[in-house]
Amino acid sequence: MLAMIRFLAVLVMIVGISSCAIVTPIKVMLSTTSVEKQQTLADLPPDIVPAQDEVLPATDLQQLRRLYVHALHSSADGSSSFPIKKRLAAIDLELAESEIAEGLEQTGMFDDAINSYQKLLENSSGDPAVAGTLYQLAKAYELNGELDRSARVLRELVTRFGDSDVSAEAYFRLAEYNFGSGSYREADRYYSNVIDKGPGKFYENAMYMHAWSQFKKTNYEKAIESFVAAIDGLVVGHRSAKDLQSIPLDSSVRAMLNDCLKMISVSFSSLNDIETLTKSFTRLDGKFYIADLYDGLAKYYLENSRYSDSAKIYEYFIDRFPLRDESFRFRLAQIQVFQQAGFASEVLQAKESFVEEYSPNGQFWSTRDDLIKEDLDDSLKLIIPELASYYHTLAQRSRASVGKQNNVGRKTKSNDKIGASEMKDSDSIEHDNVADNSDPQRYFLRAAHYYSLYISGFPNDRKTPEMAFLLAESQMEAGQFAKAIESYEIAAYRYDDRSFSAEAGYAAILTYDKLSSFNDSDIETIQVKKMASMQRFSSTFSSDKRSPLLLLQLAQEFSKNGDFRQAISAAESVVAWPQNNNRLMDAGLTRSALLVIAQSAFDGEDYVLAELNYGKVLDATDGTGQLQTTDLLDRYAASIYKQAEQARDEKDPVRAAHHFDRILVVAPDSKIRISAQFEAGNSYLKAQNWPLAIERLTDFRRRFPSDPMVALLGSSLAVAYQKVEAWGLAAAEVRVMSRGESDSVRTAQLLFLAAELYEKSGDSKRAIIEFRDYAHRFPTPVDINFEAMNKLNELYRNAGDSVKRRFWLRKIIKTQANIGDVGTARINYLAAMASSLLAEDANNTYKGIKLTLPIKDSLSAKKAALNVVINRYRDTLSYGVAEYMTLSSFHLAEVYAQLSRDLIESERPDQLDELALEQYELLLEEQAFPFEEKAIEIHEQNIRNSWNGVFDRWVQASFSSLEVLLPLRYEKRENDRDSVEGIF
Amino acid sequence: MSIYAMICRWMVPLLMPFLVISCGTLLHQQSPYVVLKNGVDSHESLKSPYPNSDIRIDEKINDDFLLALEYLREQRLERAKEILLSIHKQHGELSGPVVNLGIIFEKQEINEQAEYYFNKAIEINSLNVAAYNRYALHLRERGRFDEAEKQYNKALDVSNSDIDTHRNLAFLYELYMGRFEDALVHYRQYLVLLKANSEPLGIARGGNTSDANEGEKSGLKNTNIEIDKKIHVANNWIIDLERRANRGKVQ
Repeated sequence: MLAMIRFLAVLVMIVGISSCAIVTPIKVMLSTTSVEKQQTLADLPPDIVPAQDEVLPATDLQQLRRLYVHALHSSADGSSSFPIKKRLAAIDLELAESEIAEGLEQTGMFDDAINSYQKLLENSSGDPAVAGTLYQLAKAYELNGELDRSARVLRELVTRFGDSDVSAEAYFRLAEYNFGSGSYREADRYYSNVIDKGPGKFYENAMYMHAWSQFKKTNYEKAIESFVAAIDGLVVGHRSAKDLQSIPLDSSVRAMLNDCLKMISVSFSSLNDIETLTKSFTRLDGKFYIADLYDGLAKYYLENSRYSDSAKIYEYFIDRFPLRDESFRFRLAQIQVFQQAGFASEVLQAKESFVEEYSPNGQFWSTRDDLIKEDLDDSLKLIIPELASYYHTLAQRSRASVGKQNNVGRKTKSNDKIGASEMKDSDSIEHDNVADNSDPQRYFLRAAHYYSLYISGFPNDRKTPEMAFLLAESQMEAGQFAKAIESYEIAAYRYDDRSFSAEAGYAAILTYDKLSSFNDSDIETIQVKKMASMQRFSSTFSSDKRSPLLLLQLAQEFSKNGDFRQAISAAESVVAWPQNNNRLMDAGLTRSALLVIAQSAFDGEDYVLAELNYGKVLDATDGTGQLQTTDLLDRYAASIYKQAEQARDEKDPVRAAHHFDRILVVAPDSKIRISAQFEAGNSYLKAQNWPLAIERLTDFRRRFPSDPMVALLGSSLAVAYQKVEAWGLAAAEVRVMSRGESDSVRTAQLLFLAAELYEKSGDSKRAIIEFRDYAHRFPTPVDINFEAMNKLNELYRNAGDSVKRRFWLRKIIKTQANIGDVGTARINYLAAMASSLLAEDANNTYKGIKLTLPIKDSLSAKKAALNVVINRYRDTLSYGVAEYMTLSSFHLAEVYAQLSRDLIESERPDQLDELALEQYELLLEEQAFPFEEKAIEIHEQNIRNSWNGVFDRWVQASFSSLEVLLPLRYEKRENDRDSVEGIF
Repeated sequence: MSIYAMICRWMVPLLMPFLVISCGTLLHQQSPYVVLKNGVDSHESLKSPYPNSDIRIDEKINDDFLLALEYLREQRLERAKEILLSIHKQHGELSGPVVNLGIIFEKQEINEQAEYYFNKAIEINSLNVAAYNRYALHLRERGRFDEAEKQYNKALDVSNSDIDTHRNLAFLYELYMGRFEDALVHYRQYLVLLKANSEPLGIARGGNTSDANEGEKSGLKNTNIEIDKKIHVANNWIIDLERRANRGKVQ
């Protein structure tokens, strides 16, 4: 019975392999026999094609047998009885099978069929159809449980009819018979016979079983070959398939295939010699399902807890086929093997290998299709963060363990954000190992490496912003400050996800400081970049609570660098920060910002803005810091002072004075107040606001008497006093200046000016003192000295002090005579003037001498005085000064005319009678006439000056005198002098 | 006799009728535009003597003008100035008030204003010989002899027979510029004009003497005496100057 079942099973497999519909083994046999019956076309009954939808009636085998028996008995032709008999034997066999199928099994069921076939064989020893009959007989024996007889018949069949159509099956059934009886060598041989027949219905099964035979013989290498060959047979036509799993197979074939694979694994595992194993695998390299073989073996090892072997198999494959799709999966599988085995270091190593081999943009990754890439990415997105986190945590622990944690290490989010669950257990082991002698920096760099991989591989991944931030953290911890800054800024500003942005942006700014501390050569560049980063942070994260402080620092930096406009802008942003308006911001911050604005504005020469903001700071200062307040006040005052200076430079003294004055009001206690008041006074001077100038400057002198600038006030006040015509005060200032002046030239100038001012003030006494002082002390420059002497002449004249006046007139003449050629026209003029005045004195003396009796004596005195006068006027004439020449000429003429008149009008002797008196008067006229003639002559000479254009008062006076002396000639006056009567 | 003197001699008879009609009794004011208080008919307004001119002014204006001259002679300068300025404002076409404003400012030693008004007067009436003369006098008194000479010459351009101009110019040349020969020319012209004025009245009035009353006869007689005196003085001036001129030539 067992043999029958096996037989049926084999049939089922055959049917399945041949892609036929699933039929019972009996049906298979029927179909086989039907083929046997139709040997030639002539043997075929007429073909009656039923209608397509016609249901054919089931064939009743018993009725059919009766028909064939009837046919046999009716047959007269012996040659035609053989097919009928053969058919009857087949029907008997079929009937026996039907009964088995219907559970009517009983011993000797197939006896009829066996007998039938045996009879046939007896009558047809050389008939080619004997092979089929033998086959049926073998079958009947087998069905009848007579396996050995069946085998014998089959051996006869293959011996006699080795090339017959049924020989392959016969070999196969012989192989099965031997395999079942443990004769693996025989089975191997018969299976080989089937295989040698080439592809056929039993070919694949033979291959499969042949492998099994090898296996049973413990010839594992052969078994592997055979199983592989079996597989090849199963998947023939699918050579282009990627792997076995992707081939669409019937489940039974799939089962056989899987069994082959498993057996290959078992065979490999049985080799126990790695060299043989690898050699075997090498031979199979060309198989498209080679990966399945490796995978199968690895899994087999894993199932048997041979973790290392499993991992090695994967490793072999990866080494051998690094660019095959399966490689990355095997690496993942290897990781799982290690994890399952609890091999932490191997897990880590495998993961690192995975990342290094299959990371995005690597050779492997780049050459995959999208689906593979997607799978790869999924794995990488898990593994890379794990590795990064692992090293990051390791680095932190390592650093902590050596007690070097410092302020640089800020709490990162790595542990919070990234779970390293898969390496959790192994991590702890690893950390313990590295705690003592580790290099934190190396681990941070390692972590950074993985963060970088993740970022570059998955730039748009949702976790990338976090990775970017952690990369920066790692780099910073590793001391790679420049790179850390770059990474922080990428994390801060590149991604839409802002979870880490602000933190990263702020960290970047802080890292610039660290970079500076380790970089002496490029501090300025770093600082510039830091400022840019601060600016970017504050503009990007304007609502971040750190922004105002950063802006303030930024403003301070700008200010320090001289970029005042930027400094002001940044500081104004602090002041205008929304939270500031809600009074949520630190008041000190606002104050500092205002200070930056003020200072920057000051340095940037926007003094109005500076003043405004210093004022705000002062308003906001509670007065607790007196020193600070004082300093602020000084700056505040300075900003106003600068405005004043600007106005002054712009030639706007009114505005300048206004600003200087403001300091006195708003910052009277500032250091600069003293200068402000001084400058206010001077500005008022320039603005010609003399009263205010005087007020500020005199107040300055009162308030700050010991200030060095007091010495400078004199000139300013002197000017102002002169402008308001306070001549005396002006003179006093100038006099003080003169006394305090060390330069002699300057002293002389001031002294002269003081004298003039005293003169203007009407203080003749002081004027005389100063002019006299000058005239005595400063003989040079001579022209000024002459002016001083002339001033004394005039002042004494006005004072009626003729004696002192004459002293100075004579001194003028004498000095002029002494200086020689250096005399100027003005000096000559003054000398001529002085000379004329002395001549006038002589003239007055001359005029005062009356011709009285005795006329001789008085006339003699008169003539003597005449000579003096004449000489004096001639002296005056000698200076050649036009004005005094005409004057002298006129007076000379008048002197003679005077003598002529005096003679005519002289006292007459009393004792003269009328005649004598007449004679006397004639005599007088004769005496007087020449003098009159002389007078006329000189006057006429004088008036001739007019012919040359000189028509001064003395020429005109000569004309007037001549009108009297010689009226016929000179009394000629134009008409209409007083009015013109014509109206038109 | 020089050609110039001959021309003058021939010109005088031609001018006389006009001079007499215009000037009436004050022969020295023979300019054609001199207005006289006497000798004007009873018209309510005065008529400009200028050719092609039609200036007519109210008598009130003329009275005011005469009043101003009175004040001027009395040295009541501000009052005179006030009136003259008023007239000038009403009748800017009259030059007489303007000349006198120049005189007032001159007396007040406001020379710039004085010159302004003298020039203004000449601008208003470029035929006003008296204005030229008065301006020349102003210039002469300030030693600006060349400028004075120009003004006199302008006056002569207007009226070469203006006797005052010849005399004044002769003074200028003789006394203030030493140009004796030039002075002699104008002294002699002056003398010619004086002598022309001293001709019998009948000739001067075109022979119409029968209607003259005794008073007029007496006045004319006195005038002739004055003229004779002037002729005499002028002759002396000429003699004296010729002598000095000759002496200068000899020297």
